[in-house]
Amino acid sequence: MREPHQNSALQWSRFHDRTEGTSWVLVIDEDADTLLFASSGLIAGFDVSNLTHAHAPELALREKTLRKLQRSYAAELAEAFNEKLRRISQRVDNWDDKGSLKPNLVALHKSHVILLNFLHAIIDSGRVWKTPFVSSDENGHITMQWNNDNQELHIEITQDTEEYIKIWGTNIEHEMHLGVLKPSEYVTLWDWLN
Amino acid sequence: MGLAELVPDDHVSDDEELYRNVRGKLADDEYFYDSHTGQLIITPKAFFDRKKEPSVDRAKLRGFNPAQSRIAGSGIVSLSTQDVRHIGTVKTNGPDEKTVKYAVDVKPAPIPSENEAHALITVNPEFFGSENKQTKAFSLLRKALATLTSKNGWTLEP
Repeated sequence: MREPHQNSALQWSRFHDRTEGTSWVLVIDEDADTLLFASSGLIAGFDVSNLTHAHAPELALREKTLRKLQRSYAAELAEAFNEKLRRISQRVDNWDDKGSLKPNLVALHKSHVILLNFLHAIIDSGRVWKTPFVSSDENGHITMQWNNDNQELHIEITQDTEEYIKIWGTNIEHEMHLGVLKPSEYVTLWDWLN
Repeated sequence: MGLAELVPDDHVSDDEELYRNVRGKLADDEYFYDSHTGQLIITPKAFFDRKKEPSVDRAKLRGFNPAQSRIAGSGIVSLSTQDVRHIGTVKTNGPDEKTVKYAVDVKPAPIPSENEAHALITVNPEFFGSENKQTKAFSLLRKALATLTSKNGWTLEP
């Protein structure tokens, strides 16, 4: 039988390959005896096997542990999207051979600040953070995306504007909503997504 | 399959399957795997097109063989024509402030002696107005197309 650490290391290796190491997650082992905190190839194990055997209390405890952990590791959580922003900042005009512009420097800086504030709003409220997919579009704007089952939250940052788009289906008229992104709505948007 | 099925016609029927190339390199940002669920997510970038008419191939004219549509290094995702048309409308405001609605459609666009299966995802009437308005409307269409294909996963992995 494979040791939990080996099993999780394998999962991490596969995950790391697929995400180019730019994402940050808490990996909860399938065997429910190890909580792993994983980032950029670094894995530290926390043995929680003696906490409880009942399913619901165990999940509640894990979530509590996770919330406590993510507050302690806010800088590392931020590093996951900062790394991607740094990588994006190196793009030049026509980086994708489709004529896309290089990212706008103002939009890049704004994205860093907005994501950092978003992260802190979520973890300070006791909710669980999830690293977004970050990219730049054809006009050099910065785009962020979170998915949760059938719901998506997109954020688009330009030099002058910050907008969000909520998506819960494919009908543009009835299943998408656009709005101006405001710090006071970060938690509301997060609750909608989750 | 009969010969008639390989002959392009001037209408793409609702029940036709469509193939779209998605670049295989993760750095191109046309797809990613969700960090929590591992699910494949196709991004709106996968449907970017300078003319705002993303290209697809009609599966039946490729013999239902996605490998025939594949560009080297890419993967293939699939859409049903009916699902694309159900995306419905893209709203934007015209110069007179009236709301204009665009019906999303799939139209044949064969490239003679090169790709008879070629088709375009279009909106009708054509986008107009400032570049900013056009980009916004097309952005929503791309998000809808990305959402549709994410549900279906890879037809052919990169």
